[in-house]
Amino acid sequence: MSQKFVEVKNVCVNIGRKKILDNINLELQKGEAVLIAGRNGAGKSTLLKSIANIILPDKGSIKLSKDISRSKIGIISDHLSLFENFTLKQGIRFHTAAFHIEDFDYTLINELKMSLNQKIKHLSAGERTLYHLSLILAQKPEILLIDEIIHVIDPYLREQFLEAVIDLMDRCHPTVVMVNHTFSEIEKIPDRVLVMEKGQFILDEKRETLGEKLKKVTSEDEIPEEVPCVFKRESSYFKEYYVYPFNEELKIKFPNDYKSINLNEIVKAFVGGQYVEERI
Amino acid sequence: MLKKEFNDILKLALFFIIGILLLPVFLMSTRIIANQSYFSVFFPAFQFGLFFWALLMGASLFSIDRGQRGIEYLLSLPYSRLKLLVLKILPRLISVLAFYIVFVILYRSVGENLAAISSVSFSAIYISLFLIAISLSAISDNFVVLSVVSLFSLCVFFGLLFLGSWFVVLTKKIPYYSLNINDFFSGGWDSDLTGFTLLAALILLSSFLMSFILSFKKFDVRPAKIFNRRFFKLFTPIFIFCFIFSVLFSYQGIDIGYKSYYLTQNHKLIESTYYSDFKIHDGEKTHKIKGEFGPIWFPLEEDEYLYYTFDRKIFKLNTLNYACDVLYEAPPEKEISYQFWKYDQTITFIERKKAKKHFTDIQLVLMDIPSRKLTRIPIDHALLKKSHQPVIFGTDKIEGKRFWLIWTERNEDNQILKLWEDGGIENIGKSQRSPLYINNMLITYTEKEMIFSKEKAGSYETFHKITNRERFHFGLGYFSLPSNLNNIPLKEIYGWKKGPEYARLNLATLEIDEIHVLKGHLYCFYPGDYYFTEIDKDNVTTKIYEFKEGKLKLLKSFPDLDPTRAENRLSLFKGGIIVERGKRIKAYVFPELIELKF
Repeated sequence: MSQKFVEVKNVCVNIGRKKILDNINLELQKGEAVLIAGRNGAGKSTLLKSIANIILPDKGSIKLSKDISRSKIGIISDHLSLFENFTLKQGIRFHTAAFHIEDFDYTLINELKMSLNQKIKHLSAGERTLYHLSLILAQKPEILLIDEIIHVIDPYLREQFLEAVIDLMDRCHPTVVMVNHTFSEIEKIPDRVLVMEKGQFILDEKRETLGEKLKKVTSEDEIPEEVPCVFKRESSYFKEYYVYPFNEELKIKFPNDYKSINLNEIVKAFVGGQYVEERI
Repeated sequence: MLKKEFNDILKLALFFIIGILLLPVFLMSTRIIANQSYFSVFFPAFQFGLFFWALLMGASLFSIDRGQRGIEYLLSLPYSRLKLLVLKILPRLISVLAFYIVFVILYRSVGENLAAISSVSFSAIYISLFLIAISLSAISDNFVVLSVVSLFSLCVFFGLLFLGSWFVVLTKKIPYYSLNINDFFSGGWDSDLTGFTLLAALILLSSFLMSFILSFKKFDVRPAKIFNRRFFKLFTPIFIFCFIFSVLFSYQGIDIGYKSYYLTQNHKLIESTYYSDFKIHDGEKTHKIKGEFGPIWFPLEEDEYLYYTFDRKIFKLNTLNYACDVLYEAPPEKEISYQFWKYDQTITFIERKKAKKHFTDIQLVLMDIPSRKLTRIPIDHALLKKSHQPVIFGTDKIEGKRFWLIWTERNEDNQILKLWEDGGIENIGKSQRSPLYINNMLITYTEKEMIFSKEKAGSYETFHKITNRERFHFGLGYFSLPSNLNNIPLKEIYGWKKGPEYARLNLATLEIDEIHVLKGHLYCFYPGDYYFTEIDKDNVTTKIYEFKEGKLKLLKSFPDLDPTRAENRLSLFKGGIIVERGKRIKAYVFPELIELKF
């Protein structure tokens, strides 16, 4: 039976007059891996920071399960925020004390041959990401929040990063929430995909069902208006239709070549659809 | 977290200490400041440096973390906002207090005369600046902006504080001089006003802190203007409330200590406050006299009449039938001397107009009491224009022509002027301490001598000197200010000097012939009543003695009375004494010091 770990209820976050999160509701289950996608400024990072207590909602509440203490929430944000004047050793000492960590695993740091006496501000973006991850992993987090960081590091470090996250998921079954713009390397990680737009969720589907519910039709002709289409792309020779929600009846009623697509394209369809809608 | 904060503060403190120790070396080696000792340059620099330290400690609450791009990480730590605040503020508060203790130690040991500003104003600015800077530390990401805003807020804060004080002063019609408002800047911790101003300041400061703590509950990484809106939404009403509360507090508080009591020579206890009625207790009944009276300072008593000045008016109070007349009221642009002189049926006082830096239109005013007819003698003398408070200390007649002797107190030369009734004015010398005119003798002081002179052919000739007793200060009247009714021949006067020693000056032999070493205070009432209060702090006992013919006579002992304690006060008058223990007032009348029931 799934266990409710985080409950986001009617949360609103504003920056000035702009609504960043608009009365948003979300439940995260224990061990669930969630991918949040959406356009820039859709509110993805704000949601993650709200769950991590870095941003406090103007309205609504974010409740954690009684089993989770705040020291079991780990966040790696796009800013990779740490006390930069610390050396790596000082940073580890500080983090382990603040989060009451007994054992610290130096594997990632050693693999990259990082000197513990160098200052954090002298690390490259990739090294800093891996260093930050090793701090978070030491917390043995029950909720891991990863915000738009994977695409900024090189392929080798990215692989190391993802391996470490997957290893943690295998060992500890944390709830993982990832915000990302590229999905090819993490396609198999999420159990659930959320797409945000203007501070709200426009899609919340299980990864397995999403592939069945969204199909692409490539055709030279227009498809009937009755076919639900989230995004349409036209070129001189053909037209692409992203049909959602797709079901077998639709195939019988309006026969077309409904093709399955990967996660990258699925998200692109929803995000692209929003741009088109805005233009109209 | 606490360790990190302490480390950050220690590093800053180390730089601060090195900087403040080296600054005098730099100033002296570059001859920007020359011919001064290291400490005399260091101490004022240290005082001003501490203001910077208070500002730094407040404004850097989050700017260090912001500078290290660590604010998100800081907020992701498993601490509540309140705990985070405590962990951030605690080391800063300790450092601010530690430096304050160092300041106090240096100030008390060697720095008092070297300080750039008094300990009271320093303490008020130092603590206020720290708390204001802390309260504003989250309103901007920029340290320079925070510093400027904090300093500006400090100015507004003190401006409003004094506006509140002035509101109280104006609404209660309390004269400026009686408030000693300058105590706040010149150093009197024991002043009533200082205490209440500091407490009012704390009330006003609490609005900054409360708004900050309440808005900090929702502090996050969003732009500062989001926090600011919340902060000022809370700050505005809280500040207005605290401002009103601090003004009301001052209004109530400044009253305390200004209810004054006076015991007349015919044993009537007069209770007065500013611009209010008199309450006169005669031992059986309390009589209320309607009017806008004030405290009775430097009065003049003759038979049942009591004359005194308050707020440009000269009052004449009949202490038998309780009728009170305003003998004279000066025009609003003028002031009259608090000390005046009476001979026969004439009252003499100085009236003058205060200009920006000096006095103008100075006149000696003679009033014939029965007819209230005024005679004005203009005194156009440069010394009187500058003098803080000219003191009339004698009057007499030579060949039927009256003159007055005026000492230009606090003037740098302490000159003595002789003013003739026809307006003629002569400078007849100077006296380092308040001179006396007794038995047709002029007694003046130099640094080392006490000089006795007599008028001869239009000038004063010295006929006797006392040396080696130079520090004795002989006086007449309340607070040694002469209040003369008539020139009554005297046999002896008493004086005191630091030590403390008390001495009798035999006016027949003109020698100082009795010296007592005592701990206490001497009170003298013209003509010739001298009393002494001995305060035994160890046994908490106060004894009242009478000085007569060189001998001390114990009149009464008050066990459990230490008048040096803030809540107690012992006042001596010609008619007896008043003992104030908090709000309990008791009056005892001479000669046996029997308690006056009221």
